[in-house]
Amino acid sequence: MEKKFSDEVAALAGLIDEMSYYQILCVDPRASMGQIREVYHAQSRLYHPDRYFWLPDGQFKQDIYKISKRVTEAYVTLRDVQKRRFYDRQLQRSESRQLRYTEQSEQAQKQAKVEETGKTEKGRQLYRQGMAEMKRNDFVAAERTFKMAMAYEPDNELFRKLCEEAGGNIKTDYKIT
Amino acid sequence: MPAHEPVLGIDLGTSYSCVAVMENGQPTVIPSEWGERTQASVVSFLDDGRIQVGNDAKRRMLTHPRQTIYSVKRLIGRFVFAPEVKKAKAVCPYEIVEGPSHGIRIKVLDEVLSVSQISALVLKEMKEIAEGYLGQAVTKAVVTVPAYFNDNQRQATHDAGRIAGLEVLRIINEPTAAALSYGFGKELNERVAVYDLGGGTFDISILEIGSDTFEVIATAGDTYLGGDDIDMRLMDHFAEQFMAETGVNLRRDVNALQRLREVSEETKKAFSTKKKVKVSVPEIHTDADGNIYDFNTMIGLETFIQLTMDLVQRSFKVCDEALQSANMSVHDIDGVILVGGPTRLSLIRDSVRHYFGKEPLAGIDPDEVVAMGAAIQGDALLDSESTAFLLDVTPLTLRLATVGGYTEQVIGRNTPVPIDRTRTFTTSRDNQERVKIRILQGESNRVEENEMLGEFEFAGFRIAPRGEVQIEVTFEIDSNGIVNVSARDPETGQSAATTVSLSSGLGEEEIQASAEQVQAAELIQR
Repeated sequence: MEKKFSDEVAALAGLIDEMSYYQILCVDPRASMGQIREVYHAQSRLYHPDRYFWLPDGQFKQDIYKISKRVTEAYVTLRDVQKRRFYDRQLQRSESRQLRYTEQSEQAQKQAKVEETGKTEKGRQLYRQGMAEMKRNDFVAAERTFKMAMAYEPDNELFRKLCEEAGGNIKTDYKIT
Repeated sequence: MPAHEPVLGIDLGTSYSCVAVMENGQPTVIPSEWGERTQASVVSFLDDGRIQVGNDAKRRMLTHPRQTIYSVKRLIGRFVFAPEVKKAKAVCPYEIVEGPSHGIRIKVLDEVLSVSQISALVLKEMKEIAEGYLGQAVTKAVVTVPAYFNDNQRQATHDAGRIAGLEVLRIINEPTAAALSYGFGKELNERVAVYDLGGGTFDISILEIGSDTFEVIATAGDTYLGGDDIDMRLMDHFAEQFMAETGVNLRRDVNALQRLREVSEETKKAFSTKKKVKVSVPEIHTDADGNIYDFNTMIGLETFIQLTMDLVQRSFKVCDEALQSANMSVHDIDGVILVGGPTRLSLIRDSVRHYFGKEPLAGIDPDEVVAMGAAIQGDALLDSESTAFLLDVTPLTLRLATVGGYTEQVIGRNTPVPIDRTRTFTTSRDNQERVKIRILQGESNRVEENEMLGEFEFAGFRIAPRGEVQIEVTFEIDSNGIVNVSARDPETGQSAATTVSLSSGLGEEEIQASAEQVQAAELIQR
């Protein structure tokens, strides 16, 4: 193992609690789903414990393990449309320096979901439909659905954001090419 | 020669096992001295204390049913109250008894053995075959398990390796190993589904292969569905038929049942090429008056399909589940890999082709591909130059027991590993000294419908009024898919003492004692 790399790993392991998921994955916060997956593969190539299995146990392997678990956590959060959206908002009001998607985030997200999913019956229905389409990575349909939802609730900030998000994902194919 | 010592890839199957190793950069299946490329996962104990393993031991199933142990993979890592164990007790001629902490033991010739110990004897046979072939001692292995195996089953398999004198570098999932073997060195860029129907278990995994990165997107399975179940259907059919013709219930005759089991397996295999199979078991039964009965019948493919179609359909329900979890449809799948002996059946191949709408990939040996993948993984782990690597997932949701018999999800199924998740607990009584949590794996909200992994007790934190003390519990799933739990007091940063009880696994002492016994045992050479 090159000393330079093991120093980098030690530094990264020490700093990882101060890093956002985007920083951990070395990716732009506006990255598409396909890009998130690509960087997950790239970071795993660098930090997955299996890559260093042949080395004797020690601090380096402990550091790698710590980084690897956090890389997985970042991927798991950012690949999920709803979790990612919540996480992004959490980052924006980050005076609390809450950089991880934790048990509390999950609770808060559940709470927020109840409050925000539309003021009209039709709006809520379209919201559910659109989210399901996002989950299937059918961003074309999702964009259309959220546009319709905005017709019912023109000042719903969430619907506008989701519509943009769906639109932003259309061009970037989910599949690695 | 590779820079590191050889690592065996062992596919420890319900019915058959296979061992492979990397030779000149390619995975190679190691045949026995007699040229057999798979060995029956059967262990027979002789009256004189000697032990026989493999295809010869399988032949003794007929002559010595009570001391010939087979299909233990169905029992490994299970509690005595599991439905599978009850089922096995009803049909197995060998004796299954309850061991410490609701574990299972097998009683043979006045000796009581753990399930891991039986599996260890199979692993030892595989190790010896490999050592004979390589001409050197081997100490390291990668062992495969069904993707849907829970933590208890993985731990028990790991223990079996230790008992056999093997350092198990990694437990990997069978379908993942198959995909690795398929994609190794091919620079592919595709999504594959691995349809793995083994002797006792069914798995489906969906992977994305991007040159040398193998990412498992989703996996699902049924640990109660396999080729053995097809045999059982035939066996039941034959027994019914015999009863209708003669009035004799063969289910009460242990020896007849064994022969019927054997002929059922042969009949099933014959259906991979034939449309009609003639079944003949002379002198299957002798009644109290000394009358000898033969069993002769003819069975057509259509009847065979009728008898087993619901089993095949069940596998596709599981496929639906995996695709849904991966947010995909069958059209997203570029290739289908078939694994496991039963996938040789035209019944299975036709159904798979129909379901996925494409021809399964050719040129993959369904009996050998898993061991080969395990050998590749073993080599990749020890080779500093290797670039191939796996990104696997946890197949089952990790849960916590809460109040009223309910559970709460901690780490969802199909989450990539390694990963950890932290939860904060607080004391509920004044001056509470310990906190107890129960951990489960499964997909139900109810405690009793999940598999219990263990009960953990934490102590050594500050003694204070209730609600004042917080305990951070970290649940971790490592690259082996094995669950670790640790706790710490976030105030002091001190880790709490943890004790695990209610585990189906073996204690350290039992493992050591079994290891000595198994490693000293001399397996019969032909």
